[in-house]
Amino acid sequence: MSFTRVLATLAFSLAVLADGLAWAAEDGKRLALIIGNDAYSIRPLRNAVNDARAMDKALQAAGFRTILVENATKVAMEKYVPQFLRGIGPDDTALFFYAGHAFQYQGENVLIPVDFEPTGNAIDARFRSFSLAQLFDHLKLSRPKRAILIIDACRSNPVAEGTSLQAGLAMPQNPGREWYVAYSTSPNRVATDNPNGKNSYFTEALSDLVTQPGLTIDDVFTRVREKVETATKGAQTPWSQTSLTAKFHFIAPKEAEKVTDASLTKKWLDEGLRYEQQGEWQEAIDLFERVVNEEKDGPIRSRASARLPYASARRDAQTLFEQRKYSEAGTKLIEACKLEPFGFSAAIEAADSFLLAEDFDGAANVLAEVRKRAASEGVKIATAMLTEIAPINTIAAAELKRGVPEPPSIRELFASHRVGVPDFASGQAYSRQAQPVEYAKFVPQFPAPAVPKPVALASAQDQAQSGNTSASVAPASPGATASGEAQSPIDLETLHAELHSISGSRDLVEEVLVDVQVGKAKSPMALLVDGKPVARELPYKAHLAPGKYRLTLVEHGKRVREQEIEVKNGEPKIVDVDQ
Amino acid sequence: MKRIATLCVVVAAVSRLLFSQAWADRSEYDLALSLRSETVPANQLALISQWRQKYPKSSLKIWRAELELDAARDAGDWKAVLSAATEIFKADPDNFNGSYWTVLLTPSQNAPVETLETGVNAARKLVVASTTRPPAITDAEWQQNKMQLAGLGHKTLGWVDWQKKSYATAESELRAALDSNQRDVEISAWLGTVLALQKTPQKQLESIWHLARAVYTDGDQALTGAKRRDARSLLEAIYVSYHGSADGIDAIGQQAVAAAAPPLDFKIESAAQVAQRLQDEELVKANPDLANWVFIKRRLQADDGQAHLRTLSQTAQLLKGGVVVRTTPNARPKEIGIGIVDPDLEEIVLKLEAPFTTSIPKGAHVEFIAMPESMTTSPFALVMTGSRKDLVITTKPQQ
Repeated sequence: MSFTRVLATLAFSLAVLADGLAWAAEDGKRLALIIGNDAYSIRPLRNAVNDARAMDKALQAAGFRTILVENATKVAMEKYVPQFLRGIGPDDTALFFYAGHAFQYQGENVLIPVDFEPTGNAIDARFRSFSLAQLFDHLKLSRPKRAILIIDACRSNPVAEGTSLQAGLAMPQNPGREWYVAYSTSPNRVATDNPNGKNSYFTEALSDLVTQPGLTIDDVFTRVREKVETATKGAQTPWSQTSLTAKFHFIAPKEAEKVTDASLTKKWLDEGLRYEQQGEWQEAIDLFERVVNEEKDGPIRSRASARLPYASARRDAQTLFEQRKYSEAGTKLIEACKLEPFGFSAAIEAADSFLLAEDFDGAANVLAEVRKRAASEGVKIATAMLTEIAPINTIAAAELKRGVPEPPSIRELFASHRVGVPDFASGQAYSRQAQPVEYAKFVPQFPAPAVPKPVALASAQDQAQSGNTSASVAPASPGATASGEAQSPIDLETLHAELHSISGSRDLVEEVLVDVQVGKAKSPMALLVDGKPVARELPYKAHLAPGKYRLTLVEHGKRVREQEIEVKNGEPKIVDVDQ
Repeated sequence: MKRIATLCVVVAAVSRLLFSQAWADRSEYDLALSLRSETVPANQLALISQWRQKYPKSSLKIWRAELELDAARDAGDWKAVLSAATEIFKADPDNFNGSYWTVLLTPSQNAPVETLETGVNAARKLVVASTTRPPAITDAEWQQNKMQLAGLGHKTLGWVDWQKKSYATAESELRAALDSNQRDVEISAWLGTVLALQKTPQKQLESIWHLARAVYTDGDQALTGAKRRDARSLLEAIYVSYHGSADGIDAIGQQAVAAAAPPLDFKIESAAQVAQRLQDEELVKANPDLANWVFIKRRLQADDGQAHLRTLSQTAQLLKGGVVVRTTPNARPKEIGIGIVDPDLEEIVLKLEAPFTTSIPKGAHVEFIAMPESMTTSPFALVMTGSRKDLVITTKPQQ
């Protein structure tokens, strides 16, 4: 105990009670046990206690009530772990953080207290330490809403030396549902202690990210991984494993950033339905309730809500059956059958229950219903059961005599389906996301207008004096468009030609351009030169620099023909565009 | 006796209906039952496929197609939704579910133009059917959705016409769609595009309004991210092509959000008008005398030139910067031809009340005050009357 200092009280931290963290309280309590061990007799560590302190501060900021234990002996660990477990309720989030030495023994992870006495025997070492598996088992029994286990303990350790123990930690063998397990490095690998820093690379990153609002636990550990890999130049990769089915934020996003994750509630619903099929009714109910609580309305909520009465009846029937209250179980199952008239398993279980309660009339009536509604296999089973009890039960005998009834109509089978009624909400949702039109493909049809001709500013007097008679100001009628493009854009949609330079021999000292006539097309078509529309129809005389050009014929956006042409200095050229 | 016969006919019809909705055998029921308990849409589709293969002529095929439509919708397989909807529509054109989804999906599933006929038929049916509530739909559902149904029918009809490059018909359908459902800004985007593709300045102007409305509308009805970016690129191209630059596009967008159609006096300066305005501003700065005459001449040459002349002739006009092109007679002229824009082009015929006292050489620079009287349009000339005392020869031509 001399090495142990308990710094935290069991009272809720003030942070939890603060208005700004009211969201934490809504989700149940947040409890954390934090242990940091430096003071080993051999191979003492430098940063584990600092790591524990840093996590204590960060987790308190995230609304956790914390128990911080520094340099824990075996006795101290055995004291504070149960104390931590006792405080956990079903709606709570439980977090265990450990920084110090640990080792794996036959696939089991073991935490080393500071009073550990070195031994050459692996079995002795195991019993002088604290089993993580034991903590896992007890934590599962406490059934918190979620459990988070973070172990920064994969450093090279004193126990492995002199024994056949493998370095690093083993994969967790028995994590539970709604758990998140994180190691500072990958299983069976050794982490570094950051000899030049105050904290380990892992905890330094983690304690920082835990306090950032809006990050999910997955976000946090993804970023921790990035930071540690960068800091250790890829030598250390933190590892995590999760069975969480809902997002968990250490610090929730601001209200405006909160989003309802429809895919998550759908996942819960699907999982609940799977549990239903496996007969795990309580698990199914938990998930359906979660959907109902999370979604305000909508089809996912409706489906989950509709499943709840049936799953509850089945769960109650299961409990009664286990209590050997067969008649009550049978009655409960009949309730379930009314809620789900085509639920074959409920009907057969009801018949079983009535038979165990020696209520043969009840069993025969249920089996008669099964013969009406079940699939062919179910009809066979029900018929066989009726045949068994027919000698001692008149209802069963009469049912067999009547023969197998006609199955229900399709309207009865799919009673919730409304023929001829569209799901308007789905249609509207689809319309919003579908993109039947690519607007951008029309953009080339609307090129920017040509630059207006320069204005002549001289008056007749100025021109008379200068002798220049060519310049003029052409008065434009109101509303008229000076540029051809605005008045009638060049049509590139159906058919046009494009001329692109491939390589040129342009003389930069003395501008030499060659007349090239592009012409003789069978249909009217526009021409683009180096992407710029230059003519609405052919032939067109272009002044081009000598060089190589590619002439392309484009029809409905597709290139239908290409030809390469060469323009030489001093040689006027005519290029025909034949389709 | 007649009543009994009628009753028999009714009973027979009901029996046929009941018979027509029966299972072929218990195995068909087994298949449907397994479909009912399956929760994974992909598995549901596989079961329906089995059902279709085993019972191709099932009397329950409309039911089966409806269940397939639901499963395909839940699986996000929209081609399969369209296929099921088309099957329903063809088997029963009065089935609202079939026509609704056929119409909704026709534009987005990239069906070849030649195969769009079913979509067109379904859309026409939907437009007509949207006036009467089908019995299967509750009154509340109907009140909430009937306007968008007519809009949806016209929208798809417009889209099909657009694909066939019948832009004018497409425009008319999309206008009808917008009248029915002004909340669907995608209709505005389509209408804007179809108007622009007709490539007349007036349609291009209106297209800017509709596309701007689609791009600038926020909230529940806004186009989603990619669609909005895509539509914006087209809006900007059309706007720049019309106006010459993107200046003022945001203001148009804010204005367009408020109304589904542009006001009657909606105007944007064309690129030519912008260029003209800039030229005019430059001209006023550089040569105000020339600018004065150019503006007068432009108004007179416009469509309402005669009306402007009537206004202009109320007041005497001071014109500067003229050059004498002609005098009649040469000695003591009573009529002088003057050019202001061009020294060789007679633009003004100045009639003097009394002959000038001397001759006026051609090329002499003049300024004068005179009353506009009449004009000729081809060639253009403004006839003015004035007193010889109001005619000033400012300079003489260089010899």
